[in-house]
Parts: sequence; C-alpha cells; structure tokens
Amino acid sequence: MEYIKHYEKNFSDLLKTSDIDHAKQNSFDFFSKSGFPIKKKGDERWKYLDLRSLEKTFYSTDYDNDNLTINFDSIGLDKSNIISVNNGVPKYESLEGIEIIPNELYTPIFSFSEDEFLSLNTSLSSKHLLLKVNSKFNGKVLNIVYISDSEKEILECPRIFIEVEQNVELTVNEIFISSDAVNLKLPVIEIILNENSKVFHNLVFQSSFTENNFKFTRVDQKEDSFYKLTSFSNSSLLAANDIKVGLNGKNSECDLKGLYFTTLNSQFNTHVVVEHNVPYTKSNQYFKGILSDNSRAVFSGKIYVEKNAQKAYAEQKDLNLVMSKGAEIDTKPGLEIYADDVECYHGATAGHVDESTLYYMMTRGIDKKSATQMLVNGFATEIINEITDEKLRSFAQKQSDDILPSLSFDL
Amino acid sequence: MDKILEIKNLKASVTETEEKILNGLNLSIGKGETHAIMGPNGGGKSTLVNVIAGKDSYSVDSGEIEFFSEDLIEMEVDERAKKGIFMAFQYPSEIPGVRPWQFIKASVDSKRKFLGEKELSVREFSKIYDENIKIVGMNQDLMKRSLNEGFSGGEKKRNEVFQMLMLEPQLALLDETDSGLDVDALKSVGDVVNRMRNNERSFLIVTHYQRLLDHIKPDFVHVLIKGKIVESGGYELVKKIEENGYESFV
Ligand SMILES: Nc1ncnc2c1ncn2[C@@H]1O[C@H](COP(=O)(O)OP(=O)(O)O)[C@@H](O)[C@H]1O
Ligand SMILES: [Mg+2]
Repeated sequence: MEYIKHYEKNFSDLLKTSDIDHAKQNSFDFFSKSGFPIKKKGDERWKYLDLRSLEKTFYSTDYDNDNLTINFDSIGLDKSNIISVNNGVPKYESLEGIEIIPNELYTPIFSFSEDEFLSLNTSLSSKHLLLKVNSKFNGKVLNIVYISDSEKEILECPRIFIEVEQNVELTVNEIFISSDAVNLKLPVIEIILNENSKVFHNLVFQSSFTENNFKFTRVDQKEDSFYKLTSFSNSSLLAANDIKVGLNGKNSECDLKGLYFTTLNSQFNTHVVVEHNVPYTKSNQYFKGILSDNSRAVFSGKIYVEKNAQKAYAEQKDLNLVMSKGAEIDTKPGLEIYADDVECYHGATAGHVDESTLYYMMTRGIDKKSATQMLVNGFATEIINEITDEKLRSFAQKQSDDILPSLSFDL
Repeated sequence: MDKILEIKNLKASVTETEEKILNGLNLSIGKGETHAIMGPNGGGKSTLVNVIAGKDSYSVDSGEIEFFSEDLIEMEVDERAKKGIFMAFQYPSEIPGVRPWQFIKASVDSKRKFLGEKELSVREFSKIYDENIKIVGMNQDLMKRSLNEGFSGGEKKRNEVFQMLMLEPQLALLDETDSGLDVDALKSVGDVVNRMRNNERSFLIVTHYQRLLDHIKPDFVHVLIKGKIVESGGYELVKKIEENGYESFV
C-alpha cells in the first residue's frame, strides 16, 4: 500500500533523530502490517464507517507551526491552567501541583495492538506530555485545548498522560477548536486515578468539516476512585470518540456520558469499553445521538466483567434520534460477562421524533418546527447538563443552540 | 346567541385503518356555554375532541366544523390553538428535557404573537404563572422537573388544567380530566372551570362521571353512542344516565 510506504519513510526519519525504541518499532510493525482498519471484516468498531479517504492523503509528520494563537474569549475559558496542543504538539507552562514525569518512568496503560490508530500514534508520537497531579492541584481545572492550522496536511499524534495522586480531585477539560485544517488527528489521553481520587473529564469537539479526528481516552482506576466523562460532539467530517476504562480497584466507579450531533455527510464513531476487573465496581454508559441529512453514527459499547469481579453493577444505554431518511445509525451494545453475581442492564434505541408528543405541543400553539426543535433540545440538554464545568457546559449549550435551527427534518 | 363551534353531520375515521368512528355527528356550542358529553367507552368521545383539535391520525370524511364561522378542517393544529381552542388530554405526553415553565412560556408567547399582542416580560409572565400554580394547587417541586415526567396521573391532569388557565382559551375541550382524580383534585378542577366560565368562553367536557358535573352544572348534556349524539338535554339528563345507564338510549 502506497500510504504505508509513506509512513514508513516518516518513521525512519523519526528514528534518525532519536534513540532506538523497541516499543515504537513493534508498534510500527503492527501498523504497517494491518494499515488503517478499512472495511475490516469482523471489526465491529470500524466496519460501518467509510475510512477510505485515509488511504488517499499522505499526512506529513513535520510540525512546522506550533505557535498558533487561541481565541480564549470565544470559548469563555480562563487563560490559566492551559495546555495548548498546536498542530499536535502539546505546550505546557509549569503549573503548581503538576509535576513532569521523566520519560523513562512512563509505560502506557494500553497496548498499541488494541487498535491500528493507537499503534500509529505510538510509533509516530514524538512529544509526550507526562504529568503527575498532586494535592496542590486539588479542586482545580486543567484545560487542554487542541488547535490546528490549515497550511498542510499534518498527522497529529499528541499523547498526554496524567497520573492523579491519592485523594486528589480535579477537572480535566479537553476542547477541540474548530478549524479548516485538513489534518489527521490521533490524540491519546491516558489517565490513572490512584486510590480515592476523582476526575471530572469534559470533552468537547467543535464542528469541523475538513478534519479527521480519532480521539482515544484510556483510563485506569484504582480503589475507591471515581471517573466521570461527559463528551459533546458537533459533527465532524470523520471522527471517533474511543474510550476504555479499566475498573481495577474495589469500589471504583465510572460514569460515561456523551452526545453526538451528526449532520451533512459527517461520520462519528463512539466506542466504549468498560472492564470490571475486580469485585465491587460500578459503571454507567449513557450516550445519545441526533442524526440528520446523510450522516452516519456508530455506537459500539461493551461491558466486560472478569470472572472474579463479583457484585459488579453496569449499565449501558445508547439512544438515537434519526431526523432524516438519509441518516443512519448502527448501534451495538455488548456484554461479556464471566462472573455470576452481577447486575447489568443494556439497551439501545433509534427512533424518530414522537408524533403524539409533537401533536401535544402543537395543541398549545407551538408550530411544528419549533416543537421539533424544543423536543430535540430537550433530548440533548439531558447530556449537556452533565458537563461538570460551567464554562464548558455553556459553550456546548451554545453550540447546540446554534445547530438546532439549521437541522433539517425531512421524514 | 353567537356560535363558537358548529359541527354538522360530521363523519370521521381513523386515517390508518379507515375505521369509521364518527357517523354523522351534530353539535352546536354557543358563546359562554358549557356542554358535557357522556357515553360508553369506545363511543368516539376522544375522537371527537381530537378531530376538533386537529389530530391528523383522524380523517374527516364529510361534514363541517366551524369555529367562529371559520372552516377548521384544513387548519393546522397550532393555528387552531392560537385562535383559541385548547384541549386537556386524557393521556398527556411526557416531554423529557423540557421544563414546564419553558413549555408554557413558549405556548403563551406563540399565541400572543399570533394575536398581535405584545410579549409578556419574564416578570409579568412569572407573576401569572405563580398565581395559576397556586390556583390549581400544583406541587411547586414537580414544576422543576421535565414536563409530566414522573408526574402521577392526577398531577398530569392538574397540569393540563394549569395550562388551560395560562392559555385562556375561547373553547376548552376537556377529555376525561376527572378520571383518576381524588375528591380534592376533582373539586379543584371543577373550581377552575367554574372560575373561568364567562360570557365569552365555552367548554366541552367529556366525562364518565356525575361527580364533576355536579360541581360544574353544565348548561347542556349530550349522550354520544357509536359515533352519534343520540340525546341532548339539560343537567337533568345526567340523573337519567346515572339511574338507567346508557342502554335506554340505544
Ligand atoms: N388511533 C386509533 N387507531 C385505531 N383505532 C382507534 C384510534 N382511535 C380511536 N380508535 C377506535 O375508535 C373507537 C372510539 O374511540 P374513542 O374516541 O377513544 O372512544 P371514547 O373516548 O369514547 O372511549 C374505539 O373503537 C377505538 O378503538
Ligand atoms: Mg376517550
């Protein structure tokens, strides 16, 4: 394959400038063997998406501009506690309560062979940001803002690793700023929650009709830790929200929620795995989609309960509103349970706006279009309200308010 | 007396199945009048009120429906509402993520705009809203939830009556608003109807029970069986139904 040769060249250039790294080499070998997961048989995660465009563009790994300016006022975020990721390169100014972990002490919490995109990120990512959050940062907010420019087609492989010390609580906001860059983004964030720590993670994708963004979140939870992720995605050309949480300590709990709007010809993939690896763990997955035009969304979720993970409680739900004839949702909830004393619930729906509810609203003098918008907004708001950071929540609500009037409902 | 609603020889069916439900129904309601419709289950009472409100899962096959001498049949549901028709539902919908305040504000705004009246300020609106909540005896905490979500049957009915108060219709259609209500709730529904009655406003009240009508004392009572009004009279007709059932009308 032509594009694999292209990345081979990039990879060997990278090797010239750094020490030999076996992990990177193995990872690249894995990628060059399998390539992008295009129409891969038996691959529930990617098989419903059209990824062919990825073969045609030869993305460069040459970061020539990492000094972009961010208009913080437009997001309403404070300028403090910001990590900006410019064309894939994380920029960090020291923050009280956050230490840098030396490279040699770092081991990823996932395996590169999990996924082709992850293997490419592993082999080509040159700048890792490895952070340890201690009690001095307790109760604070860390903002990670991704921004790109449109000079050329760049492959972005940022990697941010955050280890949260015992008993520390923090908010992590990640925002992808809309741009007309034509990059391929493969951002990876890893979070380790040590005993009794709490992380409130909010993730907002602003709409971009030129970029491909495959976003990976990997979480490792120790005893008594709590992790909450709320994501909001406004349609992108081709994007993924890929989440894996390991509940590896007793009484650990995660709450994963997300809302995806897809419009025009955008494609969005949500992939969630929660692994209950020890007894007394709890998880919740609650996702919603609003699909219009000729867009496509995929939800594949899995609850995995290890044999000894008794008393696990797990829920998973994916609800979709399909607004147009041309829109398509593939939703695949999945359970893999090896313990016997567990409580698991899962369900998925795909439906249209309820006609009798619309009628009810119209008998109050609300016209059909406004009634539909109000219903869709109500559907969306339930998830948006879960964004724990107030500024990000109003940013997401505003995004949603802006999309709603432009949605076409042609059923 | 001025007519509000004039229905002549109305035949209507279920759109999907073409099942005929209303078989030549006549009904005339004047300004300020309160009419009650009684009848056995499945007779077509809900169909009638929904046809007046404009639900498109019913088709009007023939006949006339005029509201203030204007043909209603082709009119959109929301336009009928803005012109003054209100329906309290037998089974009100639940609307996730939409707050009662937001919903009724949108309704009132929409109606006022249509009638060329100026929009109420949030303050003016809130004042009326709070007063009406008290009048209906709605639980304040419920009104902080999504509309009708987690409301009991009785609370949903009270909420319908509350919306009626807010929208001040010319013609209010109440479809079994009294079913599933306890004595106190029933009294409060009756009180609201009585307080809203005036020379300009008319009611069409569908019910199975004498209880509510004892409270309201309607001007006219009709018996609807198999898609037709088979008997009309005054309040005394309620007694007759209570004593003899509907068999005597067939
Ligand atoms: N949407 C519908 N689809 C199919 N049948 C209907 C529908 N609505 C009403 N019907 C039928 O029409 C008849 C009259 O129903 P309805 O108007 O609800 O009676 P009532 O309110 O007097 O109890 C019943 O036989 C009912 O089954
Ligand atoms: Mg009925």
